[in-house]
Formats: sequence, structure tokens, C-alpha cells
Amino acid sequence: MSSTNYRTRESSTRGRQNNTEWSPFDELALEYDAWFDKEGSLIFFIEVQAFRELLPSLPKPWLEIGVGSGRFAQALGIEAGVDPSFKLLHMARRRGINAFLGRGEQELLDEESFGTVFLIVALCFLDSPSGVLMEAKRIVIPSGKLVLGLVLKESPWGQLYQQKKEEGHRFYRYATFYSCDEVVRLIVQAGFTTEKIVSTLFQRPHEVQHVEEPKEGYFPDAGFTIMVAGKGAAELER
Amino acid sequence: MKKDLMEILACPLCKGPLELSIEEEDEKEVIKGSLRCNKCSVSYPIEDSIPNLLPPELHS
Repeated sequence: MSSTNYRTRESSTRGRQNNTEWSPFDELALEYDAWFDKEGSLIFFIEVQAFRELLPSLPKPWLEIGVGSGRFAQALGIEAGVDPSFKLLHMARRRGINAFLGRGEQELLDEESFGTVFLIVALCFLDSPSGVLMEAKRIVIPSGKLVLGLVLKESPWGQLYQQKKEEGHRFYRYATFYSCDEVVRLIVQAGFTTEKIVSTLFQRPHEVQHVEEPKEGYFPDAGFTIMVAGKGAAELER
Repeated sequence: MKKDLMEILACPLCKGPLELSIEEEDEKEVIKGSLRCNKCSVSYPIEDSIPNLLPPELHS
């Protein structure tokens, strides 16, 4: 958006004006979405690449909570998405996503109706991360997966966004960034166990210039971390 | 909204079944209509093919 390091994802449930002005992201929906084609395009590409090798092992059908304008959903082949932003969901629908206007913690889908639930840069914008993760557990099949795309608090990118939050940034003021340990704790509390972690975006903010290969495992200097968790799977040792 | 999604949608309040009413549709999906829970007496609008399942008090 306004700078090369700017990025945000939709999923906040805060704010309420009317049916089409639901989230703080609504009023900047077009600008937000344009980031993926402009200054954020390489970051987005790097993040999408990090998901690629994981996808074949994830049971279908797939749902993204906090689907926003459907950028990741379209790139990854996620069929359906939930989000509280009507304007962003319109964009998601144009990208072929089956879109539901709702909050992630609402019980609006049948039990065990999805194979995999994704939250991609969404956890940090949730009012009730534990409530949403518990709902994710309810709606995935017994062998189902939870996939989180995260900007972790301890990473250089997380520190930058935390600084922006403290300065009252229009989006990041709503965000709560979590450390790797905090996310793992939330996952476990919801009834999942972590199975795999993939890290990417090792280039620092303002310095992203080339494509990167993701690395398996947790790295605190990675700007983007993917966690895969399952119901009843063995705990990852990291 | 594709009609086959009715198989997985539930009333956010009671988790019961929802009844689909169609005002406008094309060959692919429902464009305008509503999803009604008869048990809760609550309707959830479908506008521009997007079902609005936000809590009823937030519907305009």
C-alpha cells in the first residue's frame, strides 16, 4: 500500500457501522487488495511458494477463515472462505471463492464439514483467537488439519508491525502479534497438535528483492511462518 | 451462493437446519434470497450471492 513493507490481512471483527461497512478494513478494501499486485507482490509470491509443498497432504475440502479478498485462497486453491468484511468478500467471490459473511468463531458450518481450515495472517486480527481455533477444530474432520500463516512477534517483520501498532497505525492498532510459543499454546488449547512448521521471508523489511526458498522448521528471523496442526497427531518436537 | 453449500450451512444460533428462499438466481448460484431458521425465527439475507451469517442484531 503506502510503503513497500506494508501488509495486512482481513479478519477483524471489530467495528460496526452498517451491513457494508463492517470491519476497519472495508473502507480501504481496494487499496488493501492492490497491495498484492504492487509493492507486496514479491512478498505474496514468497509466502504462496512456502505453502506449495504442504498442499498435497492437506485433506479437502478447504476453508479459509479471514479469507479477505481471496488472494491466498485463489492462489492456493481454497474453495470457501469466511470473513466479516462484505467489500472484501465481494472481491473473493469474483476470484471464485464461495464466500460467507460471518465471524470465525460463529458456529455457522456443520461439524466435520471441512478437511482443512486455513488462517493466513488472520490470527493476529481476531478478537477471540482461541474461540476461532476451537471452531476450526469443530468443523474439521477427525483426520483434518489446521494451517496457520503467521507473522510472529519475535520476527523482524513482527517487530516492525508491533511498532506500527504502538504508533496507532490504522490497521495494526487492531492487531495482536503472538510468539511461536504462544501460537503453539493456542493450538494445543484448541485441541490440535502441531505437526510441521515451515519458515520463509528471511529478507528484512524494506529489503525484499528476490524469491526465497522456504525452510522446514521454526526460525525466529523468518518474516512468515506456516504451522500445520492436526487432530490427534503426534506433537512436533522443535 | 451455490445451492450445494446448504449441506454444510447451519443456523449460527441453534446449529439447526436453514431453509433457502430464492428471489434471484442464475444457472450457477443463488444471487439474492435468504436463509431462514424456523426454530429461531431468524432470517439471514443473501445479497450479491453472499450469505450474511453475521449475528442477527448486526443485520441492517
